[in-house]
Amino acid sequence: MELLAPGGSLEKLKTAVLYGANAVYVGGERFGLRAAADNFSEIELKDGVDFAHKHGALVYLTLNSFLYGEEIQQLRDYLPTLENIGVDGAIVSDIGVFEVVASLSSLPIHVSTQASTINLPHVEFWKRQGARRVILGREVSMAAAIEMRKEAKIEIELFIHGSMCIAYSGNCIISNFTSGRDSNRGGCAHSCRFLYELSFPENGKKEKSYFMSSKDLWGIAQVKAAIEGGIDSLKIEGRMKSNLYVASTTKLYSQLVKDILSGKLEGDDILIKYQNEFLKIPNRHYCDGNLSQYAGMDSIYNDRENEIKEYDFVGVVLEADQSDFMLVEVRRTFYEGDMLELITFEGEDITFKALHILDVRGNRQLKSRPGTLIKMQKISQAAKWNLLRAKI
Amino acid sequence: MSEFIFYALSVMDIEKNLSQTGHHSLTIILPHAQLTPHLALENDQFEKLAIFAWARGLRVAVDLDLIPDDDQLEKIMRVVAEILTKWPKTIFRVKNYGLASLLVSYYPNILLHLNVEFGHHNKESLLKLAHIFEKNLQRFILSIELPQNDIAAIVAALPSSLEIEILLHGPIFLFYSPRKLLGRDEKNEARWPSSHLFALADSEENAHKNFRVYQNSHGTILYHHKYLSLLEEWEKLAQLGVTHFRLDWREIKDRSALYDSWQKKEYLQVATHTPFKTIRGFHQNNKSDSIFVKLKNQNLRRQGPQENGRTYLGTVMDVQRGGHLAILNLNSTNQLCVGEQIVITTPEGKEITVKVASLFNSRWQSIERLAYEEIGFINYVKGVTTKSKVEKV
Ligand code: SF4
Repeated sequence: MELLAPGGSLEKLKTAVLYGANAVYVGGERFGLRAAADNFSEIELKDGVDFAHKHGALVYLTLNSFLYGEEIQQLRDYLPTLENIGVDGAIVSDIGVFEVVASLSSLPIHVSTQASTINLPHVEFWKRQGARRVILGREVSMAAAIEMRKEAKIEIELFIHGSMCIAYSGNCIISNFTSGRDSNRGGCAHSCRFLYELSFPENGKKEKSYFMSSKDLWGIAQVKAAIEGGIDSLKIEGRMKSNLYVASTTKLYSQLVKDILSGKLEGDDILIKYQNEFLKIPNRHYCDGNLSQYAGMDSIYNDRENEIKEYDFVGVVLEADQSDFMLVEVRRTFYEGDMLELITFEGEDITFKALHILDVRGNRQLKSRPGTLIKMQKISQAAKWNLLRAKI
Repeated sequence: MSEFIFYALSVMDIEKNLSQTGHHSLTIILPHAQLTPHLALENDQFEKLAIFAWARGLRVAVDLDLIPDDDQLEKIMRVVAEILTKWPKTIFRVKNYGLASLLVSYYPNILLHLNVEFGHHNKESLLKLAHIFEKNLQRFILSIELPQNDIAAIVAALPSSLEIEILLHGPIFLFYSPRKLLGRDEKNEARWPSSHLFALADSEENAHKNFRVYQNSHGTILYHHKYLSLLEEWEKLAQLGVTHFRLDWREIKDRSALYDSWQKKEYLQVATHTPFKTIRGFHQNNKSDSIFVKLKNQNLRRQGPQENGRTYLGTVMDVQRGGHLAILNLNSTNQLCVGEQIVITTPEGKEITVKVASLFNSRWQSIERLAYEEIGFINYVKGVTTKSKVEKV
């Protein structure tokens, strides 16, 4: 089974691959949702694909915008480039885009979750069109997904983690009409996260509520069923999320899959081992969406607009092979004496105290400054590109 | 010939439709509560109106715009079977291709109107769908996001036998969730309240005002506080090839006055009798994705030699005034060597060309070249900040 992680930028793609993703999905500069993400230019895409392939991972490119007339012609011109670069699949939601990709390239086509495919006849519809894979809508339960996999005999991909659109995917155009930003072209303004005053004319009642805001999805308890049921790919949401998010979620799911496959963990032990780790990742409280049963009232994040964040991304290890220090790129300020966590690629994360902070010339600093390089004491388990985090 | 198509929630709607001279529709839409998330008729009312409509020579079309999972499909197919047994010529207005395929496989002669309101803004999509659903497809219901030029391009590309419908006057449907978002079940936090609910949702955020929110057994839908109105535009749109214009007045209690003004072609009066302000949406232009070009810093965008004649090398990671610049080589196929010329582009777009006189590693040892994913230090260059882009000339 494939673990598919978001590659919102070249850096995040590398992070995802190094932390255990079997595949990453990325956006080009055109045609993919998350238009505001740090999308890949052609040269970056080539680099990303080469990097992923070198590490045995695949790269899927999102072409899942709903395109307008003249953009289809631009897509035709873009396809040979994509094939040359060697991307391993195109994620598509618009049937016109599907048709163009199918007729002008040999790229495997994955039907995007934006197509809201949540029933078997719909999966079979896409199979008849020649899709390699269908990414099911988040309204589908794990049991139903497994059933569809069995019946339709086509690759099935399912979201296992991340923020959730509370609408049927592709069925929210609030941003289009309120902010002039097309949510089906990556412009969602997250209107569903706002605080609203609800007035009920029938009884005159008024209440303030984040009534449209969904808790985040975590599918820890469902991974075993997915593996046993033959689900082909489990997807982590979040091309717009931080590097830290990509590293920690990818690592945790990768480890979880290994634990399950090796038979080391069963039932509640899985939850006990992993729950606390997932709580360290910024979240809007977790629920399992529709994976076990229809999402209920308790799937609403009614507390506040933003995520709960316990840890912050403070740095990236750039050199770990020196005998007496590690070179770190600082992403957020921390102080001498602060407790940090090194997120290793595999195995336990390492908690350590920042004994000293030196600038690259060896001068002592009391705190680190974002956008600079520092030297810190060497941690023997550290590897290049490991991430550091600190409790907020 | 253009046709105007109305919803019927009562006998009055059907009678008013029939009395429209010149604006009379041959088909009436009867919304069935088990088949649509929008305002609709319960089964017995539906039956009553269907009998009434068919008896008066009207054809009945039924919205089937749910996005069903497999469990819901079964229920839907039962309702469809009941309707088709009684009225075999009923047309279904379907949104989900899985459901449309299923209907065609069960009822090879069924007529469908495909609802492509959320997406499918190009002619390639619609041609493909027309090819797939072939003889079963009578009409496309186009998106309200399409500006007139795109409508024209789509209509011109489609076979003239296909009907094209757009919303002429009615609610702007913004959001559809399977979750029931209004209210709380006080006794059981995990359960949704089962009742039908309506609320106005008002946010302090700009333009998020007075959304009309309906909850029913299918989930929650939300409408913009304004109505879409292209009343003044219909003749122009008809010339472009739009054949059917939908007027959706289901939310308006007193529809009688609307029909009367409509019949007299008093469009201003129609607007006056509409309890919501109206907008023309994206009819003229849809630029709703142009913002993103601005959000990305084009100065730092990584380019290939064919774009600007330079080779991307990496990025500046650390700057010490009067001291050094740290460069991370991010080009897997290129090294930076002493003596080479580089162009450094700051986030603000300032370009500075310098020759690399010397290179050091993090132990401050002199090195000759900087390999992929390595950090190297060069002498400080005035005006350069971290994140600047480094390219080789
Ligand atoms: S506003 Fe919310 S529901 Fe709408 S598209 Fe964005 S995330 Fe989805």
